[in-house]
Amino acid sequence: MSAKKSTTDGVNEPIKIGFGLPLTGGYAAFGEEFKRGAELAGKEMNGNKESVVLIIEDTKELSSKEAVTITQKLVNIDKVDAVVMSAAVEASSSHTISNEANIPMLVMWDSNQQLNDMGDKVFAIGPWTPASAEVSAEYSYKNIGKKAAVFGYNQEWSAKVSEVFVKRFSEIGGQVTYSELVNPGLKDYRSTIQKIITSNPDVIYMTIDGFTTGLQQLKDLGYKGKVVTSDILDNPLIVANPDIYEGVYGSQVADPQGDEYITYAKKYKEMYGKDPEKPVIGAWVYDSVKLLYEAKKKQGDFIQNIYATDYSGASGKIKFDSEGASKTIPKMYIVKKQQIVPAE
Amino acid sequence: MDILPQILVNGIIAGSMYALIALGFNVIYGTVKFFDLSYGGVILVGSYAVYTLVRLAGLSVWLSVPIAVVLGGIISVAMYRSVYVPLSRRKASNTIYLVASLGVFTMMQSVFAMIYTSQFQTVSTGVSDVVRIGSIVITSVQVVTLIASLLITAGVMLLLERTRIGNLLRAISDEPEIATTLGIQTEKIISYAFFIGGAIAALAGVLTAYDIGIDPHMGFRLLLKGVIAAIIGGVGVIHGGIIGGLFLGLIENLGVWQFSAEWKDLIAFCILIVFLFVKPTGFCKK
Repeated sequence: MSAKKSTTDGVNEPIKIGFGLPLTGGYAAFGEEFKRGAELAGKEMNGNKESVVLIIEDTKELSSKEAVTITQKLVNIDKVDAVVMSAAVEASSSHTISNEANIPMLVMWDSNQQLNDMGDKVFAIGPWTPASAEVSAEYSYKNIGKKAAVFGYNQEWSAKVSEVFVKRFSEIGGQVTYSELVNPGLKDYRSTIQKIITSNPDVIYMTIDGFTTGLQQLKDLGYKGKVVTSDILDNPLIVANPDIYEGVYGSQVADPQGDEYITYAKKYKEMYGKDPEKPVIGAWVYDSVKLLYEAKKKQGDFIQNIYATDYSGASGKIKFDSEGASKTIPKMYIVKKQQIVPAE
Repeated sequence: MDILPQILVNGIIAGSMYALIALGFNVIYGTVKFFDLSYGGVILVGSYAVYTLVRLAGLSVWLSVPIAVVLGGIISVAMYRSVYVPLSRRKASNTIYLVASLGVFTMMQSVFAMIYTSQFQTVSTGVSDVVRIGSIVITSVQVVTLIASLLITAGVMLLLERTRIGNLLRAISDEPEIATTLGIQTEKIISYAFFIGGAIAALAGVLTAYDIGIDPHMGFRLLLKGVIAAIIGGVGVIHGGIIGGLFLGLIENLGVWQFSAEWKDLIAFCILIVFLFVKPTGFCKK
């Protein structure tokens, strides 16, 4: 593998961007929205002449193993200028390949210390992962109750937010009555839920992969308290299961509302015949394509140009710190009448 | 200790689902003597058929469930006729059947993922109807699962022991070449076994869809647990599935109670390995 020269003379040839997105598996709805955002940016930018080439690959269920295979292909065969991954878990191993080839990798759905530690060619624009759990812990303690149970699954992100929630909730004086991680793919949570209910929590911080099934089983087994999650409230599932989602809290990045987003949403509707299903998801990838193009177009070092980015896009403002993170702090929301609205 | 009754009920419910899957698997294995992994794909047929009919087409449950079950049986027979019969005529080994059935299963799983995406879907729309007995809670779907696994096992046992088709199936299972020599239409009779097994798999898929929701990857998870239950109970033994399924469900849930849910699959596969070494015929020898 040869290291790529990152210095640019300005763009003459189109920039080639490779994507690893979860197009199949439990996160497919998010993956599809990422893909739509990328294709919208591509279509818009390639209006008069080809400015950007998008190569989109499937990481299945955010699989780090798939992400490694995909990154090998994108870097060595497709010879991309930049790699974009949807989440930190996909970057966890694959970043070594792009780093070695001197190619920037941009992660959209997370930002955290682990990503910062992956080297100076890895960038992140998503919600600061620990903040997702901290915001949830603080809101739960102040507004719901002093006793919480934590229910996650054995996956990097879920394990991290569960750990941070336990830490923060305890720090501010709350009592964590029970904490457990289950294996991915498990859908019969009843015995674990029974143990959680017996611990008598006021609130359950739940980030399991079968979130809807977990909510259903909590209700079936008579749980009357509140449920809080982070980043995974999904509109189609809320609409399909209104009774069990009603009153569920979640910390997540605010939907973008600026002029850039309004323009993006209008173009999205023209292209797909509907409003954006997951506003910030599509906007992140739309901005990523444009941001990388702008950085590539400038004279000088491509990676340093990304660091110097000060970009106001559809998803909001993107400005990287010295560790390559453009941290977004989430806010608390609640599901009311099939809508995700700000929690008071 | 006060949650132990609920844990035991959870174990029985999970076990009755494993038993149902093992039952259909045993009907097919007992006749053709190979591991038909496409059975996991037929579970998906039941799940997605009921999802399509109830959630997308708006048909009633009472109409949709029988359609899904019959469709599962038909698809299973179609697999037998289009894949396994040609292999049988070529005198394929059991390894070839296993690989072919894995191919069929993977193909079916991919087709469902392409049509419905891999997104998790639910069939039931709200809070379940629940039955409360003291501190024990059980949903109506779980009651149906429990009753169905017991009644259908009894029904299949009666069918195999007391009917002409049952006699023919057992004859083909015991001595397939002699059965052919005696003029038994083996392909036609084996089709009955695939229909019954497929219909049971589809019913398991329907009940799973109502109980915990569906995604294209669930077929393999359920198939694995059903096969483990069948091996514990005795592969090919009809009532063995019930014993194996309940044993597996109870041990798994007691493990979750005493340790954590992380141990659930580990426990299941440890039991499988122990049985394969210590009692490979399972609890019930044929």
